[in-house]
Amino acid sequence: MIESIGASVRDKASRFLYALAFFGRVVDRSLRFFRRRQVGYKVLVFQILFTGVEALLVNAVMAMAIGAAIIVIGSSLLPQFGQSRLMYDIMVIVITKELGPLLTAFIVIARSGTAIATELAGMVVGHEIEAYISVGVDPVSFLVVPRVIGMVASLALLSIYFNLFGLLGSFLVVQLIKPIAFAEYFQSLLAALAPGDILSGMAKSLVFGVIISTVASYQGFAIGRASTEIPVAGIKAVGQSFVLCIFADVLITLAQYA
Amino acid sequence: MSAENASALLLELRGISASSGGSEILEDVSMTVERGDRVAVMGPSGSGKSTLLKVAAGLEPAGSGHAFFDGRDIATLGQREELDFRKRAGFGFQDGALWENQTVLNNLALPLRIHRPELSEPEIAERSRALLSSLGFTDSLGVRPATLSMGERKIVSIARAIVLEPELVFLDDPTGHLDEDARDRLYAVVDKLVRKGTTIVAVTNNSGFVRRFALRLVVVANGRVTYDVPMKVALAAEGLEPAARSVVARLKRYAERDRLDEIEERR
Repeated sequence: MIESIGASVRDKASRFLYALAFFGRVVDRSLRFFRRRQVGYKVLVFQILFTGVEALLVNAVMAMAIGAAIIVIGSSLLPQFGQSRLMYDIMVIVITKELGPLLTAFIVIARSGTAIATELAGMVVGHEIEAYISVGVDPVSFLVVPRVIGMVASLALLSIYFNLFGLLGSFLVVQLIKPIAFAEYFQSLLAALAPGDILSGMAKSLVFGVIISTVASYQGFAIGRASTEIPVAGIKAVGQSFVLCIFADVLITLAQYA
Repeated sequence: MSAENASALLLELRGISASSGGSEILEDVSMTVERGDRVAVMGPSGSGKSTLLKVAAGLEPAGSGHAFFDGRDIATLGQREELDFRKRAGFGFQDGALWENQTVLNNLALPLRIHRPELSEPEIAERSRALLSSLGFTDSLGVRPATLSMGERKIVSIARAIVLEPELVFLDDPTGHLDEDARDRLYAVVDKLVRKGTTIVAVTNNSGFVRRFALRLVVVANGRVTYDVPMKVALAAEGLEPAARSVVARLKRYAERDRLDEIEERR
């Protein structure tokens, strides 16, 4: 009993150390990425296209829906407390600082996190990673780093889009409930929006991008040799990315308000 | 080790052990490969032949022991040394291991782009096309590996292993999945490698390949090297352990069949 607990602890500690070493290698190779003649730019471009561009529609729809929901709920509740002017502050906090980055991260986890984990896992099972090593290609530099950089860039891009569409969506709903001029709406939003809000949202997006891409790559590489483990890699990548993103979100928010 | 030995020795495995999922695959394996040597590694399925080849090529880590290439421990190579090693040692995989998201051309072009940056893209394409053509691959180079048969995948994998004209080539089951025509073309390409003095380490159970190319026979059974002799003496050996006896008996049968075919042809 004690022996099996000890073995389990040793196994977990060794996995944790391996994950840390993997992360260290990713950081090291990422810092060198743009300084070298690269064959990984194509992977980077595809990652940005898949994660950043192809997710725009889903991201935009969700952003508009959230923006609209805030306006609908806020316009019915806030006047009861005489706090209608708080509408714009709530919108900025929810869309730009809190829900925007997190929901964008969730979309990316569901689309790209699973894709990265299962694709890399498939490559491990098909011995493609060994083939890269056999010709002198470092799999981390060639396969992981472009995905990490692409994911971070894409999340920053999607975060900006989420803000734009979230605020646009709410404007469209405002027109249905209580039509106001765009200039007035825009000025009220700008008055509520501080540079720190945008920076906070961007910082979260960057951290989430690193988390999702690194976790998905790690899980992809960490599988054994059976093809049945490929979907398991995807499931683990999603679960761990969700937990770590929420944890990071809480930490960043605490740091801002502490 | 004398200076003469040091220069002749290209690959050395010293006390290699490897395990997977708690079970021992290789146990205390030691062997050496000299420049220009052509070693056939034979033995029963699951005996650890492919793992031995991958450990020797630095593609799988050894649990203990060391693999040396040209006197340097493969596990401790720096980035530049690793690149040099990869340029000088090619690996043909048992199941092809082609990059599925790349075209056939890119499967051959990537090693050239990395190790031969002086080559232009048209030159890279031409080299790749010529090599594949010599192996009888006539499909478009723009197709993805998913559309290829197992035999074609094997051919592309072998082409990728030798596209950089390495000094040492590891071949894992080179004749597997190949029809007779493809096998003949592979033999012609290996003949060229032999003429160039390329060192070859091949895991195979194809007696024809072994009889034609091997200078040395290594038999692996239960994760251990049980027999390691020059081919000339391999067939004359007596009192062998079962795995080596089975391999040698097969090679003898093949040699006898060859001899009868030759007599038949003379008639």
